[in-house]
Amino acid sequence: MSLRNWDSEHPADAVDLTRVGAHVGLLERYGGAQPAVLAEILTQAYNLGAQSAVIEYRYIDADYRNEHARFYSTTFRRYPSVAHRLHFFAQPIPAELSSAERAARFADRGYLGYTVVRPIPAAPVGRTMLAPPAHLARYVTSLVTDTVNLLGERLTVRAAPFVAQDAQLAVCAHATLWMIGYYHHLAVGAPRLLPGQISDAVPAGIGRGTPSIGLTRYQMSAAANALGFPALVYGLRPPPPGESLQRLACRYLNSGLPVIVGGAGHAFVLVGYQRHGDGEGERIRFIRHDDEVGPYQLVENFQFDDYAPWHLLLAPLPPKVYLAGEDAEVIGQAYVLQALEDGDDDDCRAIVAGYRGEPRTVSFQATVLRSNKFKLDLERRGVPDTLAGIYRRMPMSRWIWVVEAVDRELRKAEQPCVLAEAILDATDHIRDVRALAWRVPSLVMRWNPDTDMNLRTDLEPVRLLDTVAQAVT
Amino acid sequence: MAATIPAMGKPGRYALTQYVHEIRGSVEAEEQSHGEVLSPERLRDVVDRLRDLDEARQQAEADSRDYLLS
Repeated sequence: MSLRNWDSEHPADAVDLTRVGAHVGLLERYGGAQPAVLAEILTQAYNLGAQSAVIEYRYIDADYRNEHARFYSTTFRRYPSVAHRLHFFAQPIPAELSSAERAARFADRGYLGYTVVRPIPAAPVGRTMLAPPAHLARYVTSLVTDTVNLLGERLTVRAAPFVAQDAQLAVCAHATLWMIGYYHHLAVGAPRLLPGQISDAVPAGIGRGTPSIGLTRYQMSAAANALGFPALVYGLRPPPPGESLQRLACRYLNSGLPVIVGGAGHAFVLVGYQRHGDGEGERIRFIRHDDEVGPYQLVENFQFDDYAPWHLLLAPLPPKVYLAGEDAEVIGQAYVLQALEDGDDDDCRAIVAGYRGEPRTVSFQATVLRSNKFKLDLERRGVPDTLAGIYRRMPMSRWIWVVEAVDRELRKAEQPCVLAEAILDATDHIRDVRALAWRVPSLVMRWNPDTDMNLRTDLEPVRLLDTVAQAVT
Repeated sequence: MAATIPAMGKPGRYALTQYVHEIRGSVEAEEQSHGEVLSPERLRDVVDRLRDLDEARQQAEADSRDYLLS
């Protein structure tokens, strides 16, 4: 990476990625001393069908500018204060790009995303929003929409935020917090967090904070609290009784919330998962952002992973989600099972038999989502008008846990699979277990927290519904 | 002719309630009840389970094994 040529007379250049040598040329120009992550990003862009790229020069990137102000402006070696941004497109370079009369348009060129290149040979890859690989896209649950302005034109990309550590101001642990923060910024409107803010949020530990040599779980947890996405901390050796890594992580991934995992001295972010195999051989393949390797890495078997054993899980949550996922599942499951066992019809008895039988054909899953989204999606999920009307008119907390009893085979076949559900207030008190509503095939119950009254409404039998979970199995 | 609302303080003032239409569902609750829904045994199981999970989380946060993640 030659920083002498970092500035350009032009605002941007276009690269024909179909020409032999284009990939190598970009790596030679931007790979620096640590080209591996950039190489992975370029490979993924090519696999997405990228035929062209636009290099945006003199790009004032908020993240890199902040890193530069906080650290790189203090070193003997000089670094430019501006970055380059590479945009990838599925279509070839527009002919108008070389026209002096007409402006080139990019909106219909199949925008695939971007990566910010830092002028730091040791750490070139900055903020990256690249669409997931085609074979994994449906399993990535932590997708958010980002918007860029490229030469006056507005482009959007749906991706899971990625960044590589710069290994000075931020190591992997900081990078995971940045990825979580950028996700929350785009998903729920949380404030945007810059690398310096993340570094400042980490409480002092033993040794220097900058350059950083790593963070402890205490420091990561404290930083997540200070940054506005307080995290539940789970030890995985062993996991909580009755729980497993898969159950803990997938609850939050089903909710679209990325989680942080620590193992072998490294931290990374899980952004989705895929169920693989059948019956006893079924296992979960997680999809992770590894800031030392690249985005969307498929973990075939976490037990034999390079970073095994995974010993720590942090689940950063929106501030108004007080109830942990495993607690919500216990409470919601209890309400649904109680109603099923009290029910005097074949539908209820069949669901209970599926849950209690061997092999188990019915299981429970918990998902946290905003109640507004829950209400908006009722029609799309196939909820009958009567039940939808009841749910729509119910006052609900901003965030709710929805605990669903699902048919496992139908879930695996990506068919409507929800047999019953309970809705819980995500801010409710753990010592007074309540559900706001719980439904079995022919009955819905609601609890009014203001009057402490339970209201029962009989329904025409409700058949299978689509799940609220974001994961596709 | 559209109805008009007389000015406040003048004779014939109408309460707002006369112009409000309640939003009701087409299906009313058939039954209302008060009290615990879960059976005593099930509630006890839930409480025990929640306590176990809470203790596990406390243990995780207090774990003295503190690895550096870098």
